[in-house]
Amino acid sequence: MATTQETQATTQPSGPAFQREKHIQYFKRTLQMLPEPYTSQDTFRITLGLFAIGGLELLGVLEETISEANRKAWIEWIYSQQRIPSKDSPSEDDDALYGFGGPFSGLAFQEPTDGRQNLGCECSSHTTPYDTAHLTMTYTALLSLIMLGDDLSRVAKEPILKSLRKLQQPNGCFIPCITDYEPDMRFVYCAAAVSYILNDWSGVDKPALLNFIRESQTYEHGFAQSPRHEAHGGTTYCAIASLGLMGGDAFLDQRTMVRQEGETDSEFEERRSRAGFVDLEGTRRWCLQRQTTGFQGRTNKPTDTCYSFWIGGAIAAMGSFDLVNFECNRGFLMETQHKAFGGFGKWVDTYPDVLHSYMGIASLALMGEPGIRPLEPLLNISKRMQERLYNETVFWKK
Amino acid sequence: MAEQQDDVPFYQKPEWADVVPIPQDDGPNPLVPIAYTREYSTTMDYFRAMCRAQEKSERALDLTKIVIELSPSHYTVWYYRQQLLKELNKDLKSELEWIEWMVNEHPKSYQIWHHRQVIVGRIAQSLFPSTTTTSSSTLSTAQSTEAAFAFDDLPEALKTTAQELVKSELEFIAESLKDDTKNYHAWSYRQWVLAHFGQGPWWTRELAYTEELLEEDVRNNSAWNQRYFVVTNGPGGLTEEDVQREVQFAKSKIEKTPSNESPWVYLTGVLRKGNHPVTEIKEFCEGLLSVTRANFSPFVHATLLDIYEIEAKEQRSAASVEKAKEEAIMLAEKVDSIRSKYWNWRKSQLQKIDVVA
Repeated sequence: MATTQETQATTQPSGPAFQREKHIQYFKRTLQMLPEPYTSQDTFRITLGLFAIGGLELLGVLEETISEANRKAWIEWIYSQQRIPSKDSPSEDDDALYGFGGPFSGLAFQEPTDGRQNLGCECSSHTTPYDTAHLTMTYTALLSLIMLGDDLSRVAKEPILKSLRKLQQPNGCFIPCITDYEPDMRFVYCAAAVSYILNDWSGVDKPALLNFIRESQTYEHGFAQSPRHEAHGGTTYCAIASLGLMGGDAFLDQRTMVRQEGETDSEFEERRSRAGFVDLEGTRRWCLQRQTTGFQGRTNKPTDTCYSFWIGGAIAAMGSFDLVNFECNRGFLMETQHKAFGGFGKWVDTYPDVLHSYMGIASLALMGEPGIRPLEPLLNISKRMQERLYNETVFWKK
Repeated sequence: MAEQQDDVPFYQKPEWADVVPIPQDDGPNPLVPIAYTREYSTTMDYFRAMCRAQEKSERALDLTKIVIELSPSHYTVWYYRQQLLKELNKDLKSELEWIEWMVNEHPKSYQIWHHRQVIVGRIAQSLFPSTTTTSSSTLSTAQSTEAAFAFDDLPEALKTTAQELVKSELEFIAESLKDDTKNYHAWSYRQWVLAHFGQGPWWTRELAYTEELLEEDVRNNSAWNQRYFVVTNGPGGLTEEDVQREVQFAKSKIEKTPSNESPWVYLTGVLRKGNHPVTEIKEFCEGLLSVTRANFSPFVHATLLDIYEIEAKEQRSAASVEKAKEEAIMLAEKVDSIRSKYWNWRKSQLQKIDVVA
């Protein structure tokens, strides 16, 4: 089945036009200052930064709209959120979690002086658990650094991997940090994406992770947040993208796998047990069934801009995006653009927010919309940035 | 629900005078600055001071409530509050009342629902001391989804206590679901309550609850998912009797709303779980074709396509391939044209089936 990368929109779209300039202005304003209502998302500020930077990157104007001075300054700001082990503390510090965290901690921003670069706030054994790193911040910080042009040389890889091992639960799932015990599929994806970017899976027990993902596939064939919950678009994306990032047998369907030449019965069974899907075809069908105009996130729920990305991205990861109805999907997205402010809301006639605005652009990227860079669905970044990960960052480049 | 009734912010009161607030140091050029109010940034300055000192006091407890009400998704304040509640030995019943209020204000906050789970888990531990979920680490206690006790083994008095506790939690969740019958967090917490308290009289009541919700809205997929959870996780698992009952139940809902996806997926899901082939419902589906409304349902045709395709493969029947093709064409061209590319692909797959003429 053809994948979508080469597909271009062949018909002239009718209805409201794609307001590319307005969206660029929307993301630029976001980066200057977010209005007071965003205070409730303060601890997750790095994710908002990622959406704005990512939106401008997909719109092809990142270096044009974000000055070199700002890119450098924001790289420093992100590194100042990194929690690293202090030289004094013992290496097996039970309470400390490393990686990147929220900016609320009160830890000092260390201005680089004398050419010494900002390494991030030290994280000694006296640091309280209230300053902890958080898996989502680690994931979004790494992606943001790549997009701002950093080579990740100041990322403390081993402490992050050690922390991942602490965050993985006996049933294979991940929690984001010790102080926020919510095991679910979102953090499975963050762990997989972090491991992929660091090019090192030693922080993850893969068989346990695979088992958790499999257990979370419901009778509807979509994936839920946890076993036995309801199949949901966001968590389906997280499950499938994690399998894709793990690569190898993780992305095969147990039911349709074939024995390789020379493989014994037990070798084949063992390889089968490493497969991620019990039912790939069912998953694809559940995803495609979510399209009504745009996409819904669960059966019999209303459409919402972000599911054009979550479900669309999952379908693209499975290599079946050509089966999506582009015209209806695009038509819906054109309607959820905000005509005055730019950006996208979740529904028609809704105020835009940073997350849905990014998701709208990313969804159009999947369809090859003119004026938008092609998107790599597994990592949720532009293909250009994926190349940068491989060729210019320290964990990948040869 | 704040204790302060006057307009003076807490940090201007004498009991806070000794605290040195710690400002947020965002550096000279931060990424995505937010236009904080003065109230928020000052509150957080004081909160940082409490955190740095790891102070365990009543005023710290009060402050966690203020911070939570300003920033419910803050990812360490809830943990701090949970530690304080424990150290100060606070009454957990009144905490439950506050959580109920918060859930009404912020029904979609992960943290609030999880906090409820932690508090209820602690209440359960104190009422049923021989529970199996104690954890010696500093992590919050309510982690395990294994049952806290075996209901049938409890003495009578404790059985009543258990029933009351479970009943009040299920009622709390049901109340919240009235505002949003599909709230994912509410349903997720509901499953935790049922799993945590294990097999007891509340499980049969739960099946009736899903039926009530489906009477109100037969398209409520969350209620269908919960029903599947109950029948497959209840005492004894999914028996043959359960399968027959659920098949009838789903069929009756399909007959009322044939274009409603939920009962269709439920029906095929139950058949599969009960090791029944989907071909068993062929007559049921074919019967619907002569009901005008049902004939336009994409799910009648999609299920028949699946059934004829299976028959074609099992019996190597060219006639079945033809019937399957007709269904694929019906779907692509008439009843589900938004997915025409998918149905046309399904049709192309039918050509590959090995048949005897």
